[in-house]
Amino acid sequence: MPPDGLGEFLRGIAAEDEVAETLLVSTCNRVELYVVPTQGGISNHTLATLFAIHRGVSPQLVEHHASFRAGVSALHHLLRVTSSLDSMVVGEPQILGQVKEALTAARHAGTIGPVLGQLVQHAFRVAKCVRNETEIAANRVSIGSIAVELARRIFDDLSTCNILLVGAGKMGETMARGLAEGRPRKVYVCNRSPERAFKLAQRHGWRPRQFDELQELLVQADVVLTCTGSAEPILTKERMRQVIKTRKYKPIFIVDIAVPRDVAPEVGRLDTVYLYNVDDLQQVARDNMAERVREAEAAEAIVARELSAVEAWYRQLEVKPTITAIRHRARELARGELDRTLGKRLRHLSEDDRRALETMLMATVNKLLHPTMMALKNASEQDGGDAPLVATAQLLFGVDGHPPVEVAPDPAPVSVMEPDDVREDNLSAGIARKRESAK
Amino acid sequence: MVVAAVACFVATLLQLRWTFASGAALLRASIGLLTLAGGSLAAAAVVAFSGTSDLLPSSQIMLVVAAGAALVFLSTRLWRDVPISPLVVASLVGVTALAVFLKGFDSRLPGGEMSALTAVHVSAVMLGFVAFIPAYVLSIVFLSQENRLKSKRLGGGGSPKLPSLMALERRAWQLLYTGFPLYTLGIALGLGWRPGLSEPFSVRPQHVLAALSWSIYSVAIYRRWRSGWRGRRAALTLMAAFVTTVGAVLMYMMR
Repeated sequence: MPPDGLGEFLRGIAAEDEVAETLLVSTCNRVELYVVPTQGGISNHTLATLFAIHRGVSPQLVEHHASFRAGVSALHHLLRVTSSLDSMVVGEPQILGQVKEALTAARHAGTIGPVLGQLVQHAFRVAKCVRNETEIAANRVSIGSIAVELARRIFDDLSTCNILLVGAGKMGETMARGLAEGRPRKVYVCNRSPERAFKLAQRHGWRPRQFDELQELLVQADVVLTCTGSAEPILTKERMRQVIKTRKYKPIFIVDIAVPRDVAPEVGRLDTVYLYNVDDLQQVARDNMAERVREAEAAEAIVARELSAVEAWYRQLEVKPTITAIRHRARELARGELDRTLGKRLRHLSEDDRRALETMLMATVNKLLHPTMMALKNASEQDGGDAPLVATAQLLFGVDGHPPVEVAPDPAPVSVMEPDDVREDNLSAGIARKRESAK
Repeated sequence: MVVAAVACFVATLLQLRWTFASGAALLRASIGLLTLAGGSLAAAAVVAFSGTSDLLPSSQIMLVVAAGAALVFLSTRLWRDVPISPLVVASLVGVTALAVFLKGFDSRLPGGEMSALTAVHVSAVMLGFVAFIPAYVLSIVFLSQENRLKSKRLGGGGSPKLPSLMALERRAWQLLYTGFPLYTLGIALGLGWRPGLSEPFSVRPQHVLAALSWSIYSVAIYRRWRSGWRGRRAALTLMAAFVTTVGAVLMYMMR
């Protein structure tokens, strides 16, 4: 979803009769449309069609690749996505920023309302809990960031280090860029072909050097990345032994990305030399990933725990209008009767007496209403709510602002449509009822 | 005690070898020797407390401490294996056993009165020793971190976030530079103090250990100054010097 067309897309979706609020989360591997439908609800088919029309693609294509979630399932999904449990790389931090961007875009487009706004805030809180209470994001999983982490375990501060890139390969460049983010003192590039070294250095503001200066550069460099196409190792044990002495045993971290290797394996056994190749880095990444997956189990438990709280808040939305209406009506009646009485038979009462009488009357009203209010609140906390009780309360108290609850076929209060996922169409009647309160 | 001291000495050598060339057989052998040492020390402690030994009370306490340390280490190792810990325990238990053994033959109390010179001598040595303790701990942490980096066992969590190798090393050497002049002053004052006493000067085991530890520290500092020496070998040298210092200090204390 191109960012410049996002606002227009959201406004287009929100302008439809079926949609009360909407939000779009778009990342490199997911496009998720969150929708709070209006009273009439919205079917999966309509949702897919709206998405296709406003995106300018075929509705069949969208419907074929999309999956739908509703109600609690959609809430659960939102919490998992924001907590990075649904990401390709579990625990990656970018998704939180991407959901924040989505919320900002929806706010700017004016398509966010009290329901989605609150739900996304809940999701942020849950994501924060997951990050604070688990180690899900503690270990790096990309090779570049692992190299940076290793360098930090050896050197105090990368800003005091010199980096040497031997070879002008793509992977070496990528890794050097990652290390260069630590603002090293100097980044040298040397290559057998000086032109390539020069071009690469020019592209990133690094310093090109001749390949025959390698020995001198090894003495200056603290982190060495090698990625030449040499058939024989260019850094041998004898060569490095000399380098170590010349650099006064200062540690040197070597990352050998080349295949075949540029650095002889014996070099790694030298004191103050820390030699890693791509396989070593990948092994560290795999171990860290396995740790993240283990931590994800704890994170899922946190999400499940927090889901109950979000769900409780969400269910309260269902009865809140009825509770407010009943309380408002009762107080209105009481106040009307009080004003009539005070205006006629009790005109002689002082201001203090009037206030005392009013307080007494309102307290009585509240006490009378208390069991009903509690029953409605408790009903909202039950799974699926208690629609007959809400309807009965509305009938008994003459609150007709809200229509009786009815069971709709499949629309949902909060729907998420995402591609390439499992289709979930089994929408419950309870979910349909929430749609009305969400409105 | 002789068995324990020798076993620990060999275990320390095996552990040093293991630090440079990891091997399960080396580790198993050193743990076996440490078990033998722990058992020997425990047996020696039982004998000492049964009243059939003429060990000094302070020696008896040191014996129990050494045996306890070895046995606690061996039992904790059953559920958690910390890479550098066998080296640390073997060297410290070994030097304690050696000190207790040597002190068994030297129960004479020092002659002379506690002069001002003596007070400065003792204070300087102890202050130097106090500076060496954190340097030793930092060297252990350094070796632990270095071991993880060399063996590439960094992934999967569980590895604590330690300061960088360079930071650990720098702080250890700073402490060494602080403690060494004090230690040197203490030893020099000790040399000047001894001949002044009524009894004739004789070389005792604690003198040898103190001189040895001072020599190791001197060589390490000289190499550092000459060629910027650092890394695993330097850390192990500092640890060796400290263990020797512990032996000397223990022998002075067991009076």
